[in-house]
Parts: sequence; structure tokens; C-alpha cells
Amino acid sequence: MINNTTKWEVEDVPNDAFLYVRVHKDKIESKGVSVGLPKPSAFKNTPETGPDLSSDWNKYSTPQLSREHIGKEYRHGKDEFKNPSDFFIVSFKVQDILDLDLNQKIEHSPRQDNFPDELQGSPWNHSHCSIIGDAEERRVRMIDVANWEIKP
Amino acid sequence: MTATIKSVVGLNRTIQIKIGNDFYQIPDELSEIASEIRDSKKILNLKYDWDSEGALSVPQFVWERAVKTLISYSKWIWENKGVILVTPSIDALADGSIDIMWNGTKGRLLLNIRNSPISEAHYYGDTYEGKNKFKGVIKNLNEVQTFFAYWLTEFLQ
Repeated sequence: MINNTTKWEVEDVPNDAFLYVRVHKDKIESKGVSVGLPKPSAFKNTPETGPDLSSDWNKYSTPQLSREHIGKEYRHGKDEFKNPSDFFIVSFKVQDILDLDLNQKIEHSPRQDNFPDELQGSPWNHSHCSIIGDAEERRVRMIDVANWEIKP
Repeated sequence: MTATIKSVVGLNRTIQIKIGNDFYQIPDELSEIASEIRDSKKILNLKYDWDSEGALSVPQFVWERAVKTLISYSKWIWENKGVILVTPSIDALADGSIDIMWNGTKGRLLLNIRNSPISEAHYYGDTYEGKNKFKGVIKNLNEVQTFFAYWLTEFLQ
């Protein structure tokens, strides 16, 4: 299937793929039995973009590239780049997410805003995938299957 | 909350906390929870885009609703069951809501206080790895719901 807003084909994401998700430094547990783990808030998306969680597919990205990509993005509504060192990276195996049996869907959703002219602050991303579904249970259970790739 | 003052009420030491216009007496045994509540006030200093990704600030009424709920359940369980709950984390979310997350040795529970005029909270708990799931919505946060308090008592010590 061709996404009309991009030159990249939307592909099926296999169950043995890995997805990289950014975790803001303030969303890491600092005390108690879960110290060092992402908080449930790490897996809540911003209200502007709906009930899906952005991730990067390991077919086209690495944990390092995923973090570097953050530094090419503008902060929301500003002409100011994000600081990649404010973020850390966890990975999820697609099969592990599906095994949680929470009716979550994973869709490849490559980003090429303003194609064919890439805009500063809104970098293209071939690896972008959406993890769709949002509930308290999802946010808790995702912690169980997350693995640090770039940890604090 | 503007101040935390230790006082003596009868034979029981209490901690007094001001939340909004109300004062709350918290048993000294729950001092760690009181401390977490005090620390959580920094949530109110978060400005729009505090996570660089468009996160909303948390309204005062959401924070007050969250900490009052935490106090109500912590006190009820202490006074009725003699149990001190594990101290939860109080955390801001990008949509302006607040999570209260308890991680106990037997179980865990996430209570999300919505950024909404409607006073309700959604919860999910289990005994880890998705076992013995406990989830739903608390429609009335102004009164302790005993079924919810019993679950906290059983699994979140």
C-alpha cells in the first residue's frame, strides 16, 4: 500500500520486529521497588496526537538513531530543537506487545511532513510506527515488556 | 498545600497539611505518604510543554483531587485495617491528568485522576505480569469506596 503523503511504502510490521520508544527523563521511577523502570506515564501519548504511542522500527532505525532523531525535532509549537539527552530509549518486541492481549495494533506510519520538501524541525522518519491503544492497563503492562536500550 | 506542621492531637501525633482551603490531619504513621504529597506539589510548577512534546500543565483542581483521594484512602485503611499502604508515586501526565502508582510486594495499582470537571478516576491493578486483574472506574472520589480500599489493603502493603 502506498501512503499518498509519503514516498515510502507502508509495510506490515512482523511480530519479530523491535520498536524503539523514547522515555523522557522525568518519566523514570526514582524510588521504591520499581526504581529505574519507566513510569506508566512514559507510555501515554500527548493529547494532540490521539491514543497512539510513537515508536521507531528496527528495520530502519537503531536506538542511537532514534535518540539522534529527537534532536532534529522542534519542541512543540516552538522553533527550538529538543534536547536528545532529556530522553532515553526502550525497546519492545512486537510479539511481546501482542501477547499482552490488550487489543493493541501496530502500524507502520512513515513520516514525511510537507513532502517533497523536508522542513527544519519536522524531520522525515521512515521507521515511524504507531502503537495504537490507550488505557491504564496498557500503560502498566507495557512496563513488563520494555527493555532499556539507552538507559539513564 | 502551603505548610506541613506537626502537632499533637490527643495521644496521637498527626501531620497537618493544607490543600487548597482545607486542612487535613494525617496520622504520623503515614508520614512517608505525607512527604510524597508535599513533594508532589512541584507538579503544579510544570509549564506547558514540560516534556518538550506538548504536555499540558496540571490544573490545581486535578492535583487537589488526587492528593485528597490519596489521603482519604490511606487514612481509612490505617484507621480501619491498621495497615500502612506502600508509598505511591504521584506523577503528571502529558494530558494534564495525574497518576498515583502503588508498587507493593504482592501487587501494583495505577489510579489515573482525569483532567476533567467530572470527578472520576480510572484504575488498573494486578499481582504483576497481568495476574488477578482489577480494573474499572471510580465514579465518586469524595467518598471511600470500600471494595477499592479492600483491594489496596490486601495487595499494596
